[in-house]
Amino acid sequence: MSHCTLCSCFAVAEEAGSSFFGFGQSAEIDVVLDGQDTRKTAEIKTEDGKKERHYLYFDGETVSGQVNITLKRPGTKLEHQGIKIEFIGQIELYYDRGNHHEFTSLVKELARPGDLTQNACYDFEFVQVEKPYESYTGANVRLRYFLRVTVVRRLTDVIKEKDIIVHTLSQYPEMNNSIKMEVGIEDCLHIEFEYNKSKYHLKDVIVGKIYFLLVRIKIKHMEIQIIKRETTGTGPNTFNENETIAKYEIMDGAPVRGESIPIRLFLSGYELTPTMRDINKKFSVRYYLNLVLVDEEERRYFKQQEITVFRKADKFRKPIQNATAMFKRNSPQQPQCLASCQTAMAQEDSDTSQNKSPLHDPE
Amino acid sequence: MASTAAATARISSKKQTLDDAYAPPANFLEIDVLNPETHGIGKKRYTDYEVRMRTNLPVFKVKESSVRRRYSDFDWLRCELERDSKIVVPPLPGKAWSKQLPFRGDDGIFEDEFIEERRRGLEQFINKVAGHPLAQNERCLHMFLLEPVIDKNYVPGKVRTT
Amino acid sequence: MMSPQEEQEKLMEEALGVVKTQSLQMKRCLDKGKLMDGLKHASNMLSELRTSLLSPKCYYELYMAISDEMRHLELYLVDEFQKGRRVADLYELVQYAGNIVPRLYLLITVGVVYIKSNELSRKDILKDLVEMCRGVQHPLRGLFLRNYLLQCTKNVLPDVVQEVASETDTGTVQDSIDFILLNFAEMNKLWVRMQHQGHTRDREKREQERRELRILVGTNLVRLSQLECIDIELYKKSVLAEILEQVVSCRDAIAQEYLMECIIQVFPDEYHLQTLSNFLRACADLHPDVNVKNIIIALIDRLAMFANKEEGTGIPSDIQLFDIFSQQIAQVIQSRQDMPPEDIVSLQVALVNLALKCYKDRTDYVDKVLETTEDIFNGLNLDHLESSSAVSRELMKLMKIPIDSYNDMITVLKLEHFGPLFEYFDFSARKLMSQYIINNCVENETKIPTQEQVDAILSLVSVLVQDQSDQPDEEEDAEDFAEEQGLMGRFIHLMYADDADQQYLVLNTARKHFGNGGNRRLRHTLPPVVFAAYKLAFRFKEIKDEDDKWEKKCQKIFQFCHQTITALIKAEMAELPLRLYLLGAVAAGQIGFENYETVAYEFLSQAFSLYEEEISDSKSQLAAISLIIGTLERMVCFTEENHEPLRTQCALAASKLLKKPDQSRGVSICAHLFWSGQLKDAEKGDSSEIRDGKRVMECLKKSLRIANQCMDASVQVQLFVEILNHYLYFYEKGNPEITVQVLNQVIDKIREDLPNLEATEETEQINKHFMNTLEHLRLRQDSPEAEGPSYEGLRL
Repeated sequence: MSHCTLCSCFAVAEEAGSSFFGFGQSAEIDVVLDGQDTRKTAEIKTEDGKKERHYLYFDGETVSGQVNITLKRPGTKLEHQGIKIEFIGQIELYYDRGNHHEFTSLVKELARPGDLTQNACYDFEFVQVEKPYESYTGANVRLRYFLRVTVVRRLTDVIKEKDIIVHTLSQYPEMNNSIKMEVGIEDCLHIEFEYNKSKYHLKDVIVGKIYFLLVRIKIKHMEIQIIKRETTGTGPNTFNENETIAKYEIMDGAPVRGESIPIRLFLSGYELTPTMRDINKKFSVRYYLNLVLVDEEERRYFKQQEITVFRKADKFRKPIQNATAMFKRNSPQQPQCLASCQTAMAQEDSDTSQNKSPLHDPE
Repeated sequence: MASTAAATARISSKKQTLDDAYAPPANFLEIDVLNPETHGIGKKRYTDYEVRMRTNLPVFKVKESSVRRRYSDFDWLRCELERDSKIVVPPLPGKAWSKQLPFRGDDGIFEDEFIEERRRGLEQFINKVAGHPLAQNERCLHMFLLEPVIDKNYVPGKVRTT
Repeated sequence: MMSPQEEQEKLMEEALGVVKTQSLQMKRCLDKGKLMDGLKHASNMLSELRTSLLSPKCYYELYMAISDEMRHLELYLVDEFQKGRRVADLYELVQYAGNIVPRLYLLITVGVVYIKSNELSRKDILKDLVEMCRGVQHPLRGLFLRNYLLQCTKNVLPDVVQEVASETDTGTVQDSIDFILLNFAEMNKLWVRMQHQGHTRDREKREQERRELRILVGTNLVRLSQLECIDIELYKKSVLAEILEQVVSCRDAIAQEYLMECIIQVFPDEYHLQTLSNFLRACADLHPDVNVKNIIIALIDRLAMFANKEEGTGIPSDIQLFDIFSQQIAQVIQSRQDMPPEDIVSLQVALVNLALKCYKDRTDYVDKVLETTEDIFNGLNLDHLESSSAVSRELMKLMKIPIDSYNDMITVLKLEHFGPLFEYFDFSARKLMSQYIINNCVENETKIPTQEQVDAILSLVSVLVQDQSDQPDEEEDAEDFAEEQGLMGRFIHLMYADDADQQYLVLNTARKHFGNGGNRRLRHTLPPVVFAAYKLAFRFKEIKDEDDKWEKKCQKIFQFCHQTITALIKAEMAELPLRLYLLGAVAAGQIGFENYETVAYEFLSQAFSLYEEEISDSKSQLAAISLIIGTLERMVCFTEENHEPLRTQCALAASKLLKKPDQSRGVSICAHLFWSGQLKDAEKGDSSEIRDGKRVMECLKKSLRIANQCMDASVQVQLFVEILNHYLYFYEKGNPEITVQVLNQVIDKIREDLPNLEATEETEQINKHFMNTLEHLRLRQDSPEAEGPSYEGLRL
């Protein structure tokens, strides 16, 4: 499927400003962006979980194009109080519906108040506009960019919004240390884990290893999870939303001392976003690698470690289609999952009560 | 393959020493509940079991032990752990009140089948408990497994290996 | 409740059901070109291998079923690659599988396909696969996964000495070695660790299961042995050293025992020859429970076979096979203080076998083994090994080897340490071994030609020759004893020197040994010595022209015999020495050396004294006197001077027999002495029959008279018939004293008495004897011989 055919889907004009009383002039607004034929698009989830595709912009890029206003009844004039186009970046917190926090809002006047007697066409240009954050749709928050054309009228404005998607690109970080740490439960389990980096780009591969120093529990298997934590609000009104993006078994059976278990986890198959820290003081999206060991009694021992995910300023790489979905249906025998920690002891030991027996730093 | 390098990337690991590679696992812990015996008559009649432990965990003072315990001892252990540790203790097999009602045609809780069922339950319980890293520090567990007689007036606390 | 067996069957059925469904769907997807879906079904199928519920046996079955299906996937992928389809990212793609077991099976499958289509990354992929498999630490699942790795990579392992093209990294044989050795180490680790899985009470069952799985681990070694570029140097440095390090370090008897034998089996003998010391040194370090001896024996057997191969080159001369084994075995024994002595001896058995197979002529090697064994026994303070003990049995096996393989006790006797080692046996083992030795000599007709050898062998088998200090109290079975001593008797005839003088010494030595045998044995052993001595005397006669002292020597021999027979008498025997004397008399008479008449006379006299002093039983007396009479009758060496007293004594003795019938018979036999007894003419040197018809007649008359005195009528008639026959004999020989009238008298007497006898079986026999005699006469009468006497007037 070519990008061009995809584009046309979004060029559908929207009927806007239809008359309140069913008569009078009405117009359709269409926004055509410059270079649409060659501009890339990106996909984003909508609030209701569907996916949409919009044109993709980067920070500092000029957003320009044309606004076409088509009168529905040619010959009849359209009276207006002015026509403007806005470039808006805003954060919507779902629990606070009425309040959108605009962190960017630029306005261009396209026409002074007057009458439109025929179809009109206006060029617009937001030069090198700042787009500090990445477009994002989460569980409790959404960050979106869009263009809004308003034909101001006395009764109802004719409005047209057009979403764009912004990706924030990062240079490959200069400092990208590996994560290496010895953790354990005193006299029971000492392990050393190592992830080759602390910062990973979206198509990166996590390479690491788990080295066992002491194993006095009967380990059944070990997995690594990618957990996405979306934090919204502040102070007492902070909401955390954890989502396990990936569950990846890296060891089957019980090792002995001195065993080294390799980790290699490709990220491009998972739906990740870049890490977002304290976006406009409204929300954060952070990623954690969670190392989980499960023993024969289904007790779980884990250690979470934050990693930074970033979008590499790189040429586009085709993601591997549906790779994770492909293997999602495992055999019915799969013995362990988070749900099975409902047995008495394991429940206590599960993620929610971290003071029980998670792996902790031995120091 | 464009991505051979990534697809085969690994962090090189320390070579395991041969001693470690072939050492017996350090997590050996095996508790058998066996040899049930019924003692006494009338109201004082009760069944006890041999609780035999074999382990290589250094937290336990000995590698092998054998004590005799009755259901109420298991119950005592469970209560101690419930009170003193933060772990959620698994349940014991049921008390079987209905089998203790008078005027029964059978031997009630002294029927062989019942004893065997309970034995299995107790064995499962004690293995779960003793394998728990936190429970392993509790003095009550050590007393239960190792001491010939349980001193119920003991001072609760933690056991330290070092 | 299902039995464990039924439960397994049910689980298997379910698992195989899933495999069937998923593989079918996989193939369907692949046929339609839907690779991704195909992989998904493959993954579902492979997930069945995640189970912990199946026994190793069932798991193996499931694994086989699945790897069969995986071959379809592999073939499909190879085909796609060859068609030019780019599936480059597959290696990455399959790594998204969430569960490690199916993920690694897929990774291996895809990795190998990738290598097949593009060798360039072979080295990296192989290395990656073997490293990633570390993720499966569960022993059973890990073993099978790594076995899958081995099976899949079978034909893609690099097997060149140097990189063919330098810019690409296709790998060399060294990479293959590293790959397999790592896989081997990991598998061995899992295999050993499997022992610790599950409850202690199931230990034995687990051991059994582990044994069933050993081939999985051994396949690594097979794969190594299939690499053609591994030469001896590489084998020594990179392969064997590493394998042995793992084997020794794992300290697990089952693994060690199997792997050591596996090494022996899979690698060529030429390599073993060059690495003997390394291999054997490792043997010394194995777990005490390992049956090291079996391993070493297996190696020795292989090499011995190799040495004897017809097309082979044999053992290179620069390899001191025996010395190496000998040293290393000593090392093994030393390092294993608690090795049971029987195993130590078993090792010596193997060593001896090696020596005999590879170095046939080196008896010193065999002797060295015996010496070592002796030293070890000394060191262990072993003594008097119980014959029922394993070590005694092994030692027996050890010592039988030279006996059996040389089939020549003379060679065995050359082994200095054979004798001393023999002393470690207890009484009954010594007996068994001694019989074995003697039997071997008898069967192979091994001659023992010198007195030293006789001395040696009789000292060795002393348990058969004389009583032992450790002799058990209870009497042994008489029949067995007789058989054993009979064997010794046969053996004595093998003591034979080609030189007569030496033979004399040989017999003397034998006599000395047997002389200590005690009364029970003497009767069996001394007579053959005497026989042999008589035979020797005849030999001297044969060579009298070459040996002018032969007569003296013969005299000496007869002295020797005399003494020997006397020893028998001292051992409270009479009949036997009597016979030996008689035999000696005959022999002396025949040989005719100086003084032989005296010697013969002496021997006969000795027989007489024995008869008179030692034989009291009437039946024996009759037998003895008959024998003496018969002997004297045959003698030709006596002059009248010596013959007269002898025959008179015979007659006297016969008439003095205890019972009347005996007297009658003795006297009638005596009659022959006076007829066909021979007298030597001292001057002429020849001899002639006495033919004293009168004395013959007197004897027979006396015999008849005595018969007449018998109380029992039946015996009387029987004697009459016998005497009639004597009469007839002499009548036919032409004794003029005997006439037809005399014969008629006797016949009439018998005819008179016979009908009065009670009709018994005995009577019937007597009657028959009589009738036959008459029949004979009738025949003679009808057709008389030309020179025979006339039978006229005989009343038949």
